[in-house]
Amino acid sequence: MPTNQYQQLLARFDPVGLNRYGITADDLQCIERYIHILQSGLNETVWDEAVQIGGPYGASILIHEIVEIRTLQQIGIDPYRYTQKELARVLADHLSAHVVAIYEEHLYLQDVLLRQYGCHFEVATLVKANRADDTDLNYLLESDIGVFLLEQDRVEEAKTYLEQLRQGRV
Amino acid sequence: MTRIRKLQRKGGDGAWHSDAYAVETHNGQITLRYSLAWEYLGGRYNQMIQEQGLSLEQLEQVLAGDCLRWLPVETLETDDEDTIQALDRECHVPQPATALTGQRADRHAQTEVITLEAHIISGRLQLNAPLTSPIRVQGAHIYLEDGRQLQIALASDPMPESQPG
Repeated sequence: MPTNQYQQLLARFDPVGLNRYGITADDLQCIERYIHILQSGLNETVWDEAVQIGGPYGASILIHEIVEIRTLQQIGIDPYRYTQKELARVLADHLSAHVVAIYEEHLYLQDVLLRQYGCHFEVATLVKANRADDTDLNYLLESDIGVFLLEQDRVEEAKTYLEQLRQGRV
Repeated sequence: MTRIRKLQRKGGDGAWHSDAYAVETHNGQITLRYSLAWEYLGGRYNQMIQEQGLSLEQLEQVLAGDCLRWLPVETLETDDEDTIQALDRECHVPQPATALTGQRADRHAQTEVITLEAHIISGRLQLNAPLTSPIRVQGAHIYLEDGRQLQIALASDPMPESQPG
């Protein structure tokens, strides 16, 4: 994709999220490259989905990826020098990068839902509602980031709001 | 015995490698365990497999492609926990989550007793946990580390009187 197209692509996403995490056109290019390494060969990728959905929900996907990339870089890992298999091993060995990314992604979603719908959900509730299985929730709950509250009785409500966000309904 | 099936993906260099596998748990449910390269897409396939009640032999119905190939079903003699740990290492899946077998939490269970203080304030139960405790409480709720909650309800009925012997 030509460089100026990444600039145009930025307009598809929530500017609040982009500004908060300092996501630039160069970062979009990095995210696409990173996902290409990780997910080539799959029938769908999270990059394609982020671009297709756009808005705040698409921005939450970008935030996850850029936080993961930056966290790896902060500990001296250049994710672009690895093959798919090697990068999967690196991520497994540095699970904290993924966990921090989950946390920041859902911290942002927490703020968006509060701004757009006036609803507050705990981060763990949003992770449970936003993932099709409990893998990421378990990584988060078992991490050292903190103690999280899961509002089990509000997960379905959170799912409804997240779906509205995906559909771009306010 | 554990039945499993590995999923291989063709990388950019043309080499096939395993970065996910499906395992049949005791109750016959199939769970896909995947490396972090899959991001949240792994969970989506997991949900599809479980909602459609697919067996290990039917996984091509939800997950197939030119760069994906399922290996034949394998029956392993080792127990679940050892099998999962070995396959996790091979497929670069981070440490097993407690949700799959429930055994990991038991194995590492702390034996130290955590004392919660209970107060009744204006007729409501208020629990307090020590600041250093991994348990978080709020009102009458105890939040467990795995995300579940315990709620302690106060009973207002008097205890039945003991029968004279």
